[in-house]
Amino acid sequence: MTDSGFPIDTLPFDDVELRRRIEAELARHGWQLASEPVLVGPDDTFGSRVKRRLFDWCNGQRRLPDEVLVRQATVHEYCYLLHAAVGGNDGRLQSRALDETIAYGWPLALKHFQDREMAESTILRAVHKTWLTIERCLPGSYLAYFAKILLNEINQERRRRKPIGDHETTEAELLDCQADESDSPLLSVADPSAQMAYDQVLKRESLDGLLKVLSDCLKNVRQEHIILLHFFAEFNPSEIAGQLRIKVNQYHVEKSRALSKIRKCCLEDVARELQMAPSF
Amino acid sequence: MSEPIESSNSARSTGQAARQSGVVRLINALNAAPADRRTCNRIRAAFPAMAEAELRGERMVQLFPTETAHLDACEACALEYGELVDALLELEAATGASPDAPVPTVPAHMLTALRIRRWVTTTAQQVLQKTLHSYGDVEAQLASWLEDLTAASSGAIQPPQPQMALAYGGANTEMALIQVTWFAAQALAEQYTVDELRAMQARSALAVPVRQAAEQVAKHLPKRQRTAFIDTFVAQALTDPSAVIELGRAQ
Repeated sequence: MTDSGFPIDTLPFDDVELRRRIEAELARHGWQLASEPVLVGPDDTFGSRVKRRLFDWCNGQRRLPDEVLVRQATVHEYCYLLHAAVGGNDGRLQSRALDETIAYGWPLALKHFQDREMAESTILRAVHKTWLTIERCLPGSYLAYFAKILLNEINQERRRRKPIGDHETTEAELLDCQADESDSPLLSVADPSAQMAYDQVLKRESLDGLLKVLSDCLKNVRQEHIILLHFFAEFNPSEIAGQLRIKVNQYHVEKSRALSKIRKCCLEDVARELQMAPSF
Repeated sequence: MSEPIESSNSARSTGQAARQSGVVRLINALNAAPADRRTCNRIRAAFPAMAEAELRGERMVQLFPTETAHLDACEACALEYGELVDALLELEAATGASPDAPVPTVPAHMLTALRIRRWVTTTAQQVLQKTLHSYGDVEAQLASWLEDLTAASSGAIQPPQPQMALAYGGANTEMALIQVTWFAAQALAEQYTVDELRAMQARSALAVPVRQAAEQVAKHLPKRQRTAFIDTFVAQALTDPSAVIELGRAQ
C-alpha cells in the first residue's frame, strides 16, 4: 500500500492496538526477552522501539504499516535483543536467547533430518557457531544470520553422510527443478497477478523487439517473465517466485538458466535490441 | 568480457530511467566475468541482511545493487541466497505450530562455555603476558579454536579432555596455554556450584579449588611452563574472586 502523505508521524492504529499486535507476535514465537530492562534500557520500551522502526520503514518505503509489517518490525527489534543477549555477559539471558534461537530454527533442522539426534546435533553446532561469531552479525538480522549458519551446517552434514562435489549439488538442484517443470506447463504462468505484472511492464516499456528475441531463444514463458520482471520492473526474487508459485531457489535456477541460454544463443541479438532503446 | 556499464544521467523520465537501468543491468549480467571466491564470500556475508530486507518488501535492486548484480552473474551464490530466503519463509510459516519432536535446549557443557569464555580470555592474556615475551590476539585464537572444535565434534563443545590441549596446540605454545586456561576454568565451572565457591571464599579458601584445577591440567604442559602457569592462573583468579564465583554452576 502506498500513499502520497509522507513522511507520516502517526500510525493508522493507536498504541493500545500496536501493543496488542506486538504481544501477539511475541506470544506466537514464545519470546520472553522483550521485558528485560537490561536489554531494552531503562528509558525505553520494546513497544516504543517497534513503533520507531515502523515509522522508519514506512517513511523509507512510502507505505502504510499493515499486519505483516508490524510483525516484521517486532521480529527485527527482537533480533536486537537476541543479539545483545547472546553477545553479552549475563548467563541467564544468554541461555534464554540461545534456547529461543534453537526453538526458532528447530522446524528447519527437523525437516532435513528424520533422525532427531542428527537434527539436534546439527542445530546445536549452528547455535554454537552463531555465538562464536556473533560480532560478524548485524543485530537486526540475527535470526537470518542464524538460519544461514544452520543451512550451512545442514548441508555440510548431508554432504558428510553422502559426499558429493559442488557441481553435483548444482546439478541436483537443476534436476529438482526439471522434475518440477514436468508438473507445470512451461507455456503458462501459475498466478494471474504474474501475467498482470508482466503486461504492465510491456505496456510501460517498448520491449517488443527484445521480447521476440527472448521468446525465440528461451521458449519458456516462465523464464521470459523472470527476465522481464527482474530487470525491467525491479521486482524482488521472492515476489516473482510468489507470483509464479515456485520456490525462491528455483527462481534463481530459472534466471540463471535463462541468462545462460541467452549468452549461448543470442547475446548479440539481445545486446542490439537493448541498445536500440531510446534512452540508452 | 565487457566492463560493467555505468548508468547515464540523461534519462528524461522515471520510466526511461527504469528502462535504462534494466538495460544496463541485463547487459552487465550477460557479460559478467566469473566471480572470484573473495567476492563471493563478501556477498554471502550480506545475505542475512539482504534476505531480511527483501522479505519486508524493500527494493533489492535499489538497496543492494552490487549484491543483486552479483546474484545475476553467480549461480552458486544465487542458489545459496534463494535457499536462505526459502528457509526464512518456511520458518515464518512454521512459527507457532507445535514441532514434531521436542525442542532441544542449550546443553550443560555449552552453558559452561558461555559462562567461562570471557573470564578465560582475560586470564589467558595474563598467563601469556607472564609466561611468554610476546603473544597474539587471545580472543581471536580462542574463538578460532572453539570454532574448529565445534566443527570437529558432533555436538557443541565437548567435555574437557586435557590431553586435547597439547594435541591441538601442538608446537604452538601460545595456543597450548590458552587451552589449558580454558580447561582449568571449565573444570572449576563444572565441579563447583556458585554457592560452594562463595562458601570457600568466605573461608578464605578459594585458592584451593583454583590451584587444584590449574594443577590438574598443567601436567599436560612442558615442565618449564607448569609452575609459571599455575601461579599466574591462581594469582589472576584471586584478583577478582567474585568473577571466579560466577563461573560456578547455578545448582
